[in-house]
Amino acid sequence: MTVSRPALLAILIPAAFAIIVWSLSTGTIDIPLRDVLTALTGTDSTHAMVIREIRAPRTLGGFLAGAMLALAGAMLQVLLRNPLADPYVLGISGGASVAALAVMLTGAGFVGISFAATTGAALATALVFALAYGRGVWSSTRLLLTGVVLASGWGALISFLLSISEEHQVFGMLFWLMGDLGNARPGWASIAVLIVVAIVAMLNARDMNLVATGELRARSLGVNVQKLRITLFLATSILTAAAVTLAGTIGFVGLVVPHMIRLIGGTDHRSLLPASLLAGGSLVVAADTLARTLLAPRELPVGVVTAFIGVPLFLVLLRKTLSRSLP
Amino acid sequence: MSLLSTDRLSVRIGDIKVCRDLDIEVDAGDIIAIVGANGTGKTTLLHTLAGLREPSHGAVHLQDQPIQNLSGRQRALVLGILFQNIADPLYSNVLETVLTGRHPHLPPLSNETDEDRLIAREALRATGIVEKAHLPVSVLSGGEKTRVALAALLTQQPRICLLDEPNAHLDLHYQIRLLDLMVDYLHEHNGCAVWVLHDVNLAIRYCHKALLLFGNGETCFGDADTVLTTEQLTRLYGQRMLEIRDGKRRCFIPA
Repeated sequence: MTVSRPALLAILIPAAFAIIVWSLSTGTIDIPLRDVLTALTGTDSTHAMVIREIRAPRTLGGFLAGAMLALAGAMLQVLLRNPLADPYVLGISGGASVAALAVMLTGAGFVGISFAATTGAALATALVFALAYGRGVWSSTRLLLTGVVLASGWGALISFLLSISEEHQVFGMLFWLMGDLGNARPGWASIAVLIVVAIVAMLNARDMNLVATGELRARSLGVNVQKLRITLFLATSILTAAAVTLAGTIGFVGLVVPHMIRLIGGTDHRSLLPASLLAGGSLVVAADTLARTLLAPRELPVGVVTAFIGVPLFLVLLRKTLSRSLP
Repeated sequence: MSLLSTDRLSVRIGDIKVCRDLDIEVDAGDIIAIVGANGTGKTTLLHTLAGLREPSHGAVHLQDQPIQNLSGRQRALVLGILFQNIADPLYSNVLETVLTGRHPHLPPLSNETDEDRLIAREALRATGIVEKAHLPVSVLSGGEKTRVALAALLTQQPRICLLDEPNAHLDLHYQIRLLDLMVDYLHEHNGCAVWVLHDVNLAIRYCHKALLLFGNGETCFGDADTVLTTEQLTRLYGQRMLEIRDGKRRCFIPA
């Protein structure tokens, strides 16, 4: 199954739009579709207030976080030349999580937690970069190994923090770790991060196609591989930091969404990157809508629902594609 | 003006001296074989000639310009290299992989045109793999991957073609068919080539000149007829060789 780039975007853009509208209209009170659109443009009904004050920030936060994670995943899989790479593999989210949990221990509010997560992510990024880039030689394997080892170190610190915290704090911490959009209040900064990085990614998309066929080969065809690597590293670190700050560590999206897009024919990065962005955002918005409605008034962690939707979807695609491409 | 030349080129990998003060000139129409035992640095030398590796001394010149003065793109418009191994791009199909050869010809941010696609299809047809254009590269056999890599090189359309074991994983008839194809291509583009070959008999069949690497920095460069002799090859491989003649053609077998 190969879908051309215009066709891919022609499916994903309306789909993203439909999912966002569905998310805005669904919840403790269901709001008719026509009210959704009028609410965004202004009127002061209760419905409009619910949408503007409660649902829109959460939906936007979900879309941004999902889009950032999927885009970061697609870029990291090229940077590390490894199909198993996801935004959390280098321990950047680990650093963010440790800092966020440490601040939660002191009982800080959401603003403090966000600030801590951003700082933690930045420190973790600097640490991976310094250790992997140390001697000026920067192989994918070295970067991957450094990142994986640091990530497991952060993982141990997370377990440590969980084990020393009070019982009543643990629930909130676990929820944050599994991805939580309940407090997401995306500002212009998150939107700007996604737009800027997406533009940088598209500017380098053709170079990424070449690097995927081998780094030496890419160099022989005129790609500045070293510059591309640093660009990809910084871009993915910023995306991961921004996503984790927004919504905690939502799993699965960054790993699997790029593969889904590749399976339906978006192997060219000029299609893969925008398609991943749209599909990642849509998946998280859909998952979050289910997370807050399925067992309402109880909420599920959004990361659990992304996996519930994503795993079967991915496996079906994989089966269909394999049976077609293999002789 | 020679297409590719070296000026007192010295290359080392760790303790291994690949070549010392090497001066060679490769002109349009030339096909040069690099021959040597395993681990003498044939691939390293080829990468240095391609500008992918800094020499320890001396310089490589591309059309009489020092290669490091050219941008990556300028270099890729003139010089192409076939690597020993082609990496499996994540799910990328054969046609997409071959199309990446057009990269240096395309301005930044522009997409491949129909003409680029035509060139790629033509190359796939020439290497006999066009019917697999839409399969992922990862499902191909070793020999088929070599043919894809060669098609990508032809799609790049360089005048200087550096080939690292172009006959790797290929059946006998494909070795001849593809090297013949390469000769025709060079003729058509008024180009030149440097090939790393393990098979001395292919070197004799196709190459005008040969460069022997002895592994201690010593090299021997000259006309294939005068350099590829029983004595030299016996010394090169540490294995007594025997020359067999059939009219004008000759070949070597281990004695």
